[in-house]
Amino acid sequence: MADRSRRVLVTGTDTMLGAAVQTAFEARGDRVVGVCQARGDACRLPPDAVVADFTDPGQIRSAVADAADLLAGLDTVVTAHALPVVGAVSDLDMTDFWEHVDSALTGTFLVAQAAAASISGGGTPGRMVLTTSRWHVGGPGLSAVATAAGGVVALTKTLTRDLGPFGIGVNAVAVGCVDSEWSICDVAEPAAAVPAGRGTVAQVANLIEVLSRSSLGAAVGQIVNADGGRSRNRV
Amino acid sequence: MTGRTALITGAGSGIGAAIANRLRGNGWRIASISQESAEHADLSIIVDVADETSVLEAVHEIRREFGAIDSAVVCAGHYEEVPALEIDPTAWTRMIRVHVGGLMHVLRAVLPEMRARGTGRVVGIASERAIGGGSNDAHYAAAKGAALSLLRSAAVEVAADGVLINAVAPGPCDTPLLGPDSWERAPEFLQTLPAGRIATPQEVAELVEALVSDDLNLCAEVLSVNSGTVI
Repeated sequence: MADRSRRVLVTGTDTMLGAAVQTAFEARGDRVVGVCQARGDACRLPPDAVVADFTDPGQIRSAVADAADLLAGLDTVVTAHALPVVGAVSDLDMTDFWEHVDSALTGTFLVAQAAAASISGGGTPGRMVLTTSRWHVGGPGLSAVATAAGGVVALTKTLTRDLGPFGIGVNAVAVGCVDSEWSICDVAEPAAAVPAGRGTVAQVANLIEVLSRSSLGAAVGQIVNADGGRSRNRV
Repeated sequence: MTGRTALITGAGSGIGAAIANRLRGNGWRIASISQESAEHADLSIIVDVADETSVLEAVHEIRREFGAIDSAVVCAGHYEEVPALEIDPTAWTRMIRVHVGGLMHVLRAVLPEMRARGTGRVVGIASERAIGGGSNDAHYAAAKGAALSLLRSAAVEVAADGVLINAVAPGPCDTPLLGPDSWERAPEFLQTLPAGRIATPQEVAELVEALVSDDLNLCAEVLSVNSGTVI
């Protein structure tokens, strides 16, 4: 383990990826607080999660503040709350489109903005890992997903420059070809297009843990494809 | 002791030495192929990686000593600053032979056995120059770009056999290759970097260790540690 016990905020611990991230950090002795969106079935929320609407700046600020209070500060933030919306561009309900973009992109920005103050106020180096979809490259039925993902890619690069002077390193993981709620985005993908085969959320969580280490302070501003070699591109 | 063996080229100094030191400290047996003797190696073989026959012989010797090679880290490099119009054919060829040949020779030496065993990891040390180019080092940038594409193609070929190949791409790094008067050490340059400093060999080594040890399912991917110089 590279760091002492970290204080970690993870959004979306009610998603497969978010839950795996929580497990990966806790297995290393870190303390994690989740922030989750009420999705209609309150019983499915993790018991230790703070609830917030990811499109509401006030709720996000409040939830991040609550998480920082519970942990007595923040060292690390991981966003993993987004869930995909798939549909042909001409058929997609605009309510669904905006719901995804506002949650996946705007919600990620709001969390990063709110958390940055808590991290930088602590006076120690902080890390953020934003998760997004490898389908920022676009794909059939993926207009909403691609829109939000493209935004998160650019947001990662700008946050790197804006937050670097405050000692906060930002990276992103572009996830694809991993068995999760997002598998729906890969249905048209032939198996042969994924050289290392489909992955698991636990493997992505391992990667996120590596990128979250403060000992890797010069590893910033990168979009790492976690997709079994499907992309092989520079983002 | 993990009982695992790592072949590292260029372990005699700088980033390669840091990788050898970290892996050895975590229980790996280290076999070095380098033009310099490697302090942090259990077996140090003096070889020019541009010479395929020598690399093959060295790999045979490593197998005789340690058995199977679990991971290979291709770090041996060569760098010089020369304006593009002044790069002569000899300098150009040397750069290509070291970076592209050095990678290709190791791949050809270790991959057949790794594929037969159904497991193995290879990490290439790439460079931000492979992504963004540079100035006064066109031959180096071209060689690094070529090596990265070679690495990605090889990665796709062997992933189905359980062998994962990835890269770590450092930016300006605190090694002897970066002279004390380099502009990349100047405070006015460092102030422009999101990380506010150049990378350390230890950071590169930490990412290499993750790629050879952890269950990440990455393939043909590049983990950059460049302080934000290339985003």
